[in-house]
Amino acid sequence: MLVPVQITLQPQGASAPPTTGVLVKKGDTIQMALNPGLLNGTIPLTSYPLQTSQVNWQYREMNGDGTFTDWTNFQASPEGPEFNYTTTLGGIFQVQAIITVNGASETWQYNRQQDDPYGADSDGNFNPIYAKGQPDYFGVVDSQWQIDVRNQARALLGSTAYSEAGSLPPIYSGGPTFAGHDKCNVFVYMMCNAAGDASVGLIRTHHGVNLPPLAIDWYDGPGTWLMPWVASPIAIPGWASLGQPTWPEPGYVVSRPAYSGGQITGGHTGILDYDGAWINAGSVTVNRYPNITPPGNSYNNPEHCTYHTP
Amino acid sequence: MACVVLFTPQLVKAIDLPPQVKNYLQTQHLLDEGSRPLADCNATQTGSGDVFLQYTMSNWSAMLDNLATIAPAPKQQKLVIRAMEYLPPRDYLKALNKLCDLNAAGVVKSQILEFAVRARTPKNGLLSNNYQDPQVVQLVQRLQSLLPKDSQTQGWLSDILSGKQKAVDQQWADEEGVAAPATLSAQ
Repeated sequence: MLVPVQITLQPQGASAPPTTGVLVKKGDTIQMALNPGLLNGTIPLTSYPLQTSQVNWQYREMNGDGTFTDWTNFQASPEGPEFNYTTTLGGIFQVQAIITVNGASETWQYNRQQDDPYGADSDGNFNPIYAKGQPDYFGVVDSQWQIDVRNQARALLGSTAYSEAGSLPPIYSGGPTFAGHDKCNVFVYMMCNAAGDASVGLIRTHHGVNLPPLAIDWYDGPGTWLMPWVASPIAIPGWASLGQPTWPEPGYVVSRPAYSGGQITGGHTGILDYDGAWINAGSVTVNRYPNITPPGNSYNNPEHCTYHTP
Repeated sequence: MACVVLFTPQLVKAIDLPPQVKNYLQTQHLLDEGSRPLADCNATQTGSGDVFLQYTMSNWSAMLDNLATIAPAPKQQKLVIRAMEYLPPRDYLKALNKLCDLNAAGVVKSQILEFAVRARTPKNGLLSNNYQDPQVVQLVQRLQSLLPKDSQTQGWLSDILSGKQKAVDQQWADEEGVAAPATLSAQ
């Protein structure tokens, strides 16, 4: 007998799986099912040809270095074709269901149902981890500000407003327009402040111009700095550095250094999305190309996270 | 008396790239972080990148002659361009002129030509620091004619010719702790 299986997740109360990824606050409930029909009512649970005892759900969490924890059962006993999970941990998670029939088990992972439309960088290089069929995730945050910052950043996906060559409206009267400059740090500054509950100040002054934190300020890690005018990272009031966190959460500011000749020459920064992607201002577009997870196509230098303190 | 002018077609010698260089062009691309030198931009660790860099510095002219074949995609052309930034200054100017030829021939798009001329380290300030050098003047004027009139680069090119950009680039180099812009030797 053929059993229709397509792992589907959605926040409890949603009418359909979100196209922007499942992201909830700790304490919220996520509905998981072997088929979308079980969630939208087109397939009654009583008519689905698998019993509760035959389906066991598992998760694993993304570590800060891009590896994962071991697969872990959500519950001690099988949950069945449909399962409501009330979140207790913040982080970024993969999901799989183990289906056992007549003693034989099959594993079905929660996968992407389409190519991520923003998974390519400014040059159109598509990160294959965002392809249809690749693992998908759900994200859980500790605080609402993380969802707010992430949503602000997602709203700019595809925009060229933060391109290196372009100019921004002055961030204050008489302020800089950043024409011709990398704007990854300005993007983070603007998104955090637009969220309303994760403000970032102008912490640097250069030639009388007040500036938002640089990527290396968000990174706040060890290293020898090349640029004389930077000298060393500056602490960002209202924010705490996690270094490379054990378990990163969506909404965190993520950053890494850039090296040349063993010295830190700069860095890059963005906002973490529900699946470990960096929502970042690239050379031309705001995109999701970088990701905490390796290999190769992701950024290789250590990635640090910073979170907003209440 | 009628004259018959014979044109001898300029034959471009095909180039056979070493496997590592070919593989690098096929598999690598610059990280999406704006104007960084090749050493900072590799998507992978060094190794194959060093081989590519050294090969490009020795064979840049032949590579450009065959760019349509060996690096037809913009992302591949960017790798070649970033590697050429390590050339001696006069060779680098020749390379930029060849890129202009390729742009005129439709092999290199305007966005790529802009990307090439707006490089920062290690060729930051080369054009602006030598704005009175005849080769620089000729190159910049050629770029002005090739690039779209509404390009943001046009203003930057005008600032180079006027000498205004020289101080800007020198200050940037001081602040970033990178080498001062090179001064071209007299020809």
